[in-house]
Amino acid sequence: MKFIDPHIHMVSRVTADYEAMAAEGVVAVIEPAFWMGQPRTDIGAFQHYFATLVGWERFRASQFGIQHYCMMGLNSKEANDEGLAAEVLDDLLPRYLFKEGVVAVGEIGFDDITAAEEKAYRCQLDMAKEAGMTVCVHTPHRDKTRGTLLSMDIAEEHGVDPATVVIDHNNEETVEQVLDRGFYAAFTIYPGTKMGNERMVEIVKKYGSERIFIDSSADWGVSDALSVPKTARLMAERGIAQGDIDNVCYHNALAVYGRGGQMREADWNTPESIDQRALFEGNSVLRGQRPRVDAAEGDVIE
Amino acid sequence: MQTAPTSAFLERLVSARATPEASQWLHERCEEVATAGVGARLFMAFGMVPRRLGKAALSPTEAECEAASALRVGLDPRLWTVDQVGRMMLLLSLPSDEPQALSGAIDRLCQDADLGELAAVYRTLPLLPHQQAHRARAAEGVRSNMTGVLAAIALRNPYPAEQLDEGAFNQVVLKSLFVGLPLRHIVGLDGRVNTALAQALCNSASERWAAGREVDPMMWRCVGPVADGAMLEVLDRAIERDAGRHGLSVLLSVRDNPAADAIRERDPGLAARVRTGELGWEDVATGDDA
Repeated sequence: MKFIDPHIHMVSRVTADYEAMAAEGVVAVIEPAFWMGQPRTDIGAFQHYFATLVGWERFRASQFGIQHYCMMGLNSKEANDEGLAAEVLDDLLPRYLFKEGVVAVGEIGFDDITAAEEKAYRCQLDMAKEAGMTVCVHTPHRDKTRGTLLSMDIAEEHGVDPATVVIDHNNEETVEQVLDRGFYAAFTIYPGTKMGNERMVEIVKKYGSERIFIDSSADWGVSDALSVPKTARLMAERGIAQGDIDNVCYHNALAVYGRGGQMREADWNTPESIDQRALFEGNSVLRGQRPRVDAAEGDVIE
Repeated sequence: MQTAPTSAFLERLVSARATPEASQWLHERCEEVATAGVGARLFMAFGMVPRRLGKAALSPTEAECEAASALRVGLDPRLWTVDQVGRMMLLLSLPSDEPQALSGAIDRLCQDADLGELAAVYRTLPLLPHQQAHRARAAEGVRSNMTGVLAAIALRNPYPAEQLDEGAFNQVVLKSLFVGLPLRHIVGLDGRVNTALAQALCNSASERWAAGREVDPMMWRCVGPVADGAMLEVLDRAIERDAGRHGLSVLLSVRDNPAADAIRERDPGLAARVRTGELGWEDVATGDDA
C-alpha cells in the first residue's frame, strides 16, 4: 500500500526515518513551514529555512525514494513578532510561493489567538487566494474549538473556497463543523497530544472518509514518523474498508494538495519523471543517489 | 560572450518545444528583465519557468548539438532540460555592462534558489558575459552535495576546465567521484590533469582500499599521465586487484607516460591493443557508471 504523510517536519528528522518510511510504503511527504522550537530573530533565519525546504531537504528525501513537497507560510507563533512578520510577509513569501514543489500556503492560523496572528493569517489567506493555492490551517493547542471556528469564519469572510482549505490537527470536538462547512479535516496522529490512532479509527467509522485525512506532524517533539502507516494497519485490523483507508492515508491529501499541479502521482509512479534521471541518459540507477545502508548482520557497520 | 546570438539560439530551442503562448510569455519576461535588472520581476519569472515551459529533458537533435558547439566551444546541450533553457534566456537578459553587478545579481538569485533554479544557474555560466567574473560562483556549485546541482556545473559543462584554478578544478573531479558522477562527462578533463589531483586520487584510492571499498576505474585517467614513483605503485595495485576494467583504464592512462614501461610489461597484449587505439576510454566506461 502507498501512503502520503501530508504534514511532517523532516528538517527535524534523521535519515533513518526516511528509510523506515520508505520501507513502510510512504511515497511522498509534505513539509509545512513552521517554527524551530524557539523564535527566529532575523529575516535571514527565515530565508535559510525556506531555502532548505526547497533545496537540501527535497534532495535528501529523494535519496530514499521519497518525494518531498512543502508549504510556505509564516506560522502563527512567529506572527507575534510584528516587525519581522511584516518582512516575511511582504518580502520573503512572495519569492517562495512559486518554487518547485510548493503545494500550499501553510501552516498558518492561530496559536495564542492574538490580533497579530489574525493579521498575518488574513494577509496570507489573500495571498493564497490570489495565487489559487491550497491553504493549510494550524489549529491551536489551547482553546482549540474557538480557534478552529474563528479560522473558518475568517477564511469564509475572505472568500476562500473551503474545498481548498485544510483545517489541521482536528479532534472529536471540531470535526463535525469542519466537515459540515465544506473544509478538509486533517487529523494528526501524535503520541500523547492531538489524536491517538484508536480514536482515529472511531472518527472514520463515524464520519467516513470524505475530505478526511491523517498526518504525523512528526517534528522535534516526541512524535512518530510512521504514524500514517501504523494507523492504516490499525484501521484494517478494526474492520475499516480498504477504500476508506486509501482515502484517509493517500487519496484525499493528494486531491487537495495536488490541485496546483505541483504534486502528481506520476512523480512517484514513473521514476523517469524524476528530473535527475535525465542526467544519465536513461540509466535506471543513479549512483550516489542511493546511499541507503544495506541491512547487515547483527552489529556490523560497513 | 556575445549574448545576442546565444539568446537567439536558446529561443529557437524553446520555441521548438513549448507552446506559442509559453514562448511569448518568456520573451516578454526577458524584455522586462533587460530593463528592470535584478529584482522581484526576475525572481518571479525565474521561478515560474517550469510551470510555463514544463521541465522535460531537452533531448536536442544532432543539428542543435552542432549549432551549440559552433556557437561556443565545448557547449553541449545533451543534459539540458527545457526549463533550464528558459532560465538561461532570463539570465542572459540581465544588464551586463558591469561584471560585478552581473555576478552580484546572480548571487542574489542563488540565495533563494531551489534545486532546479540552482542547476539552471550553473548550466548558464559558460554562456554569460565576463567569463572570469563567475569563478567564485562555479566553485560554490562544486561544493554542493545535491547531486543534480553538482552535475550541472561538473558534467558536459565547459566552464570549470576553462576558468577554475587548479584547486577548484581538482574539487570538480574529486567531488564527482565522491557522489558517483561519471568522470567521462567532465569537459576538458584530460587537459587539466595535474600532479596534485593525481596524488589526491591515489590517496583516496588507498584509503578506500584500506576500508575494503571499491573505486571508480575511470579515476586512473587523471593519474596515469603524470604518475611516477609511489603513484606508479598505486596503479600497479589497481591492476593487481582487477586486471579487467581497472587494468584497461590504467594502461590507457599511461599510454603516453614513458615512466610506466613496467606497467605495460605486465600485460603486453592489452598494452598493444591500447597503443593501436583498438581499445579506448569508452571500453572502460561501459558498466554502471556509463
